Amino acid sequence: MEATRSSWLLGLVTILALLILPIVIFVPRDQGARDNPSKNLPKRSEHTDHASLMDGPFEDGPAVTRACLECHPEAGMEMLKNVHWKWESDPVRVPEREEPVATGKKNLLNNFCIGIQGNWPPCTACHAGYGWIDESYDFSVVENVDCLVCHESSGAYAKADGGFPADGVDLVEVARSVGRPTRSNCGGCHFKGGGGNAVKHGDLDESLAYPGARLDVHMGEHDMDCIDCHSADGHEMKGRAISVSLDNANQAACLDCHSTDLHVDERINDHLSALACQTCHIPAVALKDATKTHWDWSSAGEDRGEVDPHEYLKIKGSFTYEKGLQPEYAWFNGTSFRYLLGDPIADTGPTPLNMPRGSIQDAEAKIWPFKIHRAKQIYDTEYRILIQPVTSGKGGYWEEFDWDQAARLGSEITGQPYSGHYGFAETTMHWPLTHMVASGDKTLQCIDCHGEYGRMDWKALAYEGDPIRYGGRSTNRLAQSEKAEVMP
Amino acid sequence: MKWKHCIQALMLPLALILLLPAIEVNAVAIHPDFQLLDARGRLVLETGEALSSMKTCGVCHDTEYIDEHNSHAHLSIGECDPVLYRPGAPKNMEGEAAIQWIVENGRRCVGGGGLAHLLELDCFLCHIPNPDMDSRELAREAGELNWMGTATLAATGLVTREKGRWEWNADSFNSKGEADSGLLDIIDPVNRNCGNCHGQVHMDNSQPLQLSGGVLENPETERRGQILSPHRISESALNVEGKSELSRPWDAHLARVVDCVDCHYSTNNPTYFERSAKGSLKHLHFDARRIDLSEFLYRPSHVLAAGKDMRSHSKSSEEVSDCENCHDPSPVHGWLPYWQRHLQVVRCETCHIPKVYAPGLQQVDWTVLNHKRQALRVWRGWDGDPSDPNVMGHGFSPLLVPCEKGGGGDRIAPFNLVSSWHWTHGDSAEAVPVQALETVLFDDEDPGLFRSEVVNLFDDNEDGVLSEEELRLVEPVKTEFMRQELESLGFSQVRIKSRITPYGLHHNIVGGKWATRDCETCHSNNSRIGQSFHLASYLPGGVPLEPSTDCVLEGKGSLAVDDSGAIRFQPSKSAEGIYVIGLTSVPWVDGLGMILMLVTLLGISVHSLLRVRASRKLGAHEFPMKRVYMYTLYERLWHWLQALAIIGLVLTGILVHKTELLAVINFKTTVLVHNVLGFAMLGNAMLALFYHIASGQIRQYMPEPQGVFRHMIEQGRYYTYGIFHGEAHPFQKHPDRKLNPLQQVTYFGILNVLLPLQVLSGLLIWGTQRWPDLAFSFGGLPFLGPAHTLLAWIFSSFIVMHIYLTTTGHKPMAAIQSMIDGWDEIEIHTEKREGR
Repeated sequence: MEATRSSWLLGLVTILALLILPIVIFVPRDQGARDNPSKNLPKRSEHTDHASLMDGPFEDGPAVTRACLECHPEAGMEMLKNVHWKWESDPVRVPEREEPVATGKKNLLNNFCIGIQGNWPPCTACHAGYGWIDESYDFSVVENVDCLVCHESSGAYAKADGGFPADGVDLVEVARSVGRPTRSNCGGCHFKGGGGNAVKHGDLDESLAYPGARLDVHMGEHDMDCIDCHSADGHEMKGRAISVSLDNANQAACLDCHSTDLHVDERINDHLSALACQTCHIPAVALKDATKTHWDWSSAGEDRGEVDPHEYLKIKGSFTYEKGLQPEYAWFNGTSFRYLLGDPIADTGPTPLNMPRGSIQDAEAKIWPFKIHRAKQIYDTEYRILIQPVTSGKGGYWEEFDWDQAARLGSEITGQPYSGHYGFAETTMHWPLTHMVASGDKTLQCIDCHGEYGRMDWKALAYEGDPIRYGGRSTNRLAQSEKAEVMP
Repeated sequence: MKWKHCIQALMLPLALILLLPAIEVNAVAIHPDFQLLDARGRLVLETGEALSSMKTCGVCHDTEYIDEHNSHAHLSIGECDPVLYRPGAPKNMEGEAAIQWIVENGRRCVGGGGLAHLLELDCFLCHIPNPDMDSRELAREAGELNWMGTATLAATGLVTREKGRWEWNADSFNSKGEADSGLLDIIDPVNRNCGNCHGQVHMDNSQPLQLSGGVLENPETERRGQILSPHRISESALNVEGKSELSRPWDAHLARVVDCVDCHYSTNNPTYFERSAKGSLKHLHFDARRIDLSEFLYRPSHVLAAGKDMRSHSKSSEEVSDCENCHDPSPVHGWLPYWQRHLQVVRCETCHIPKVYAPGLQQVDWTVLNHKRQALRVWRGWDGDPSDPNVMGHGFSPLLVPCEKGGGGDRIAPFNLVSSWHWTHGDSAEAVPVQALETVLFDDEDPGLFRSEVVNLFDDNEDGVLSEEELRLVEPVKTEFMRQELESLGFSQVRIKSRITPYGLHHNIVGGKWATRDCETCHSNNSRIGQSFHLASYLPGGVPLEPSTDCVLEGKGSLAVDDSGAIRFQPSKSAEGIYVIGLTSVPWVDGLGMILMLVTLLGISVHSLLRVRASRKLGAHEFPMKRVYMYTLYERLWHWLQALAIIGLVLTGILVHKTELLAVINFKTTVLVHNVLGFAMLGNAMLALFYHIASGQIRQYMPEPQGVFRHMIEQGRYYTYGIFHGEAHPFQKHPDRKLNPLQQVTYFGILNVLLPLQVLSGLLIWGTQRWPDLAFSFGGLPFLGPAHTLLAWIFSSFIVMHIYLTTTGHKPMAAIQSMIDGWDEIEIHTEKREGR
């Protein structure tokens, strides 16, 4: 009987298998989601509660750092190599220069507040360290590293000139709150680049501390933190910005998490070889807080009475701010031609301080969205170089309103020559846009770039015309066949 | 592929030149500067006369040819437009009456063609970026027909209206009398040009899209709810339900920078026009002897490629702009089961216009006028007047009905239906002019007010204001009032005429992501095909609706009144040529099948009851038994495989037709399982047939010709009599003769008739995808579907009967047991028949 039962069971299984197997084979399998970027996100581990570990009292910032180093001795050494501490990169070789150059906030010029040399104390309020008030600062003193600025989560910490904790900060309370850096930690400095909220980047401002879903899909809809993308293995933050970096190593990129084939639409996929993700996914920046687009130092020094500080300040000159800024577009391969102290300014037209490298012929380059900040800043009319003036320091422009003196003081510090003749040169700075990312339903559409209402300047991008009609760099067969005839 | 290169080689340089003005609208004006001439060919600047397009453009272009070959220079004569309530143009467009007609009714009248002697074709309406439609309309209404073309240029600054007449501005012309090209920019028509007459076009999104009264008067928007915009619905200012989720563009083609004239192209434009080489030489794909570019520019045909719908309305050539002109559906519809079949019976628009999100007209009631002297309008998919931004819209799903002959049947396409009513008079039911209605309804002294008699009669709530609801001719007394008043104006036989006009939808296409993808949208009892469509909320004067004579609706359904009193069009679920699996059922087939099944069930119930009673009476009747190895392993395997497959087929077959019975398994999967089981069943049957032939077991199924009827009667007698009286089975089961004569005949019928027919009809239904003509030659789905269903009912009844009869062995479960383990116990008979 047992044998019978098992044999008919076997028969039943055989028959069912004969019927079900082909069904299983033919039923189309669910492809699953095309992209699961969240699996690439770093796991957020539970952070040890430091409330009972940091007893204090701490007489100053370095005292807190010493307490940190007791348990995290390696963190100090890591930070000594970190750009947040050094404000300078390792030497980098670039094609247009013979010697490798080390660059960073420490020694570069921009076209906002121009540069930190001679102006250390207010600028170094954003330095991840304590006490950088002049050029003699010792970058090997590990206890001067400021752990709190990135790790405190009480919101009760603030830094003053020279990077010292501001008066009235309860260091014990702040030290007890340390944890994983949040958007507010990073934003404490990065949202305020250029001297105030939203001034510099356009895609980074205080609205991103607690953003809505429409503002930024990552930080808003998915509540991601800066360090989810700018991961900081051994305190080395991923990411590069062409305002300060000459190389493109350790860059953070969309494809770190996203797959390349996540668009179902063939037409969109055709764009991927020429467009950065950001180009379509960042239709506009400065969505909530206006960002500075023009700065004219040459008009500074006038007493204009009651004027909107977003339009004119006696110490700084006149500005333009824009909200909902539409980006400008350029080919970009990730690096730039960076203006260094002593470089000549352009013979004609504005001097680009960090012209993106890349062109339509550069296979590595893609069209990127930029905020371009245009300024007029002081230069030496004789030597035709930009000047690093002293503005905030003793005898600086903000006290004396004397450009000549500011230039002279600055040149003494930088070692650049100064002829005694100055003027104001037009400069531009490119800010690649990569935050304030829109989800798929709010991106640019064809019509935004192509056709009568398109925002692209095709000629400027070296196309023969709208690629929808003339073809792109890979699809313009007519142009390619012409080239093939010319080239041997 | 060679011909493609040939086209490219030919076309690209041409295309580049042609497209130049379109790309660089403002940067490079390819059109040379030209003199503006009057009707006698003299400089307008010198004569101060009105501009003549024909003379001005005629210097370089063959304007006579353009006038003759022109889709827009055409007028429908005699036909009254039901929405505009515009009387048809007089048959003889001559003299004062004709001029009067244009003045009163010539809105959006391009001129030219049959009207050329009264109103010249106006090139600038379409070929400058900023035609001044308002000035042009004012000129028309003022009766200055010859100045209409001049008025079109009002926004260019070349001409201004001063002291009641048009003055040419000498500053805007050069010394040769040529217009400043910065002011007069000649372009390929852009979407805005088309939109001025055809519907709302919204290209520049610096201001979000809004509906305003004016745009609703253009037919694409007014009658079809179509908005020609590349921008997302979610970015518009429209008050549409669920708008934030609607990130799809209004129109996928415009969003992809495919503009109006890219589909509606000039039909002799060598860039677009694909003159087929068909009918010429067998080896020729493409006839390269084409119209030259210079010749085209001299004589561009203005007969534009248009959809089939438009061909009856306007002059058109063989050139039809249709989805298939550009799209090859095959690479992207692989996910869609039976996609070829779908494309044969469903127009692309059916799935690719799932819903319309702008208001389209539902009904226009010209039997009375509102305070704006307009018809009473009700908008589809909108809670009220769409030009009021506080009114909420929901959008509407278009009516899906078969409309045109496709391969093997009518293709289903989306429509909006507009109901309309107006007064007619006389024998030939001519439309009562709107002026007569105005006379009846409005005060002579104060044209802004209704007559006091009208207010007295119509003002139901006595608030002194006539709302649209009050104006409706729902109560007979109001209708009677209107009729009498109109008759007192001298009209005879005054009556209301109704009409339903269908408008096919072809724009506001969505891409694949937004298209209808759920099979159940159509393949379920809740199918969109067969869903009724709201026609009217009320019937003015109680006059029932009548489909217009050329209506696609003829024979496609019926009108019904629902509980709320609204009139709806109910498409027939089994209209001619339509068989939608999951929706269509043929009642008599299912009825017959059900009766057959019930009879079978009743029969076996009675039979089994009698058997139980008999066995009680007789007690267990024992025959001597012996165990025999009746069924080989293969026979058992074959049998049970077939049994399960058939049960599976019946169950999935039921689910295919009644998807709602089991929601967890979707239509697509059910069909797939049904097909797989069908092929498993067929394969199994084939193998079994081979086995039976090869082993000679086939003989088991062959009734012995001799005495077949006698044996059948004998077996039948046993089932109806002997079984109740303890008789032995007349034909003993034996490994060499497993079937009794009745079984043999039944199986003979089932295996030779029923099964092949069922397999054939099933294969043909499955094969409508691959071999549509074959299925069609067997009557197509409308025949095959019900046939397959009927056969399935018969099969099911057989299975019930078959299972029951297996219990008639010596023990109820014995036969089933033997089919499982192969061993049966057979009665040892002493009669002579044993061992035969």
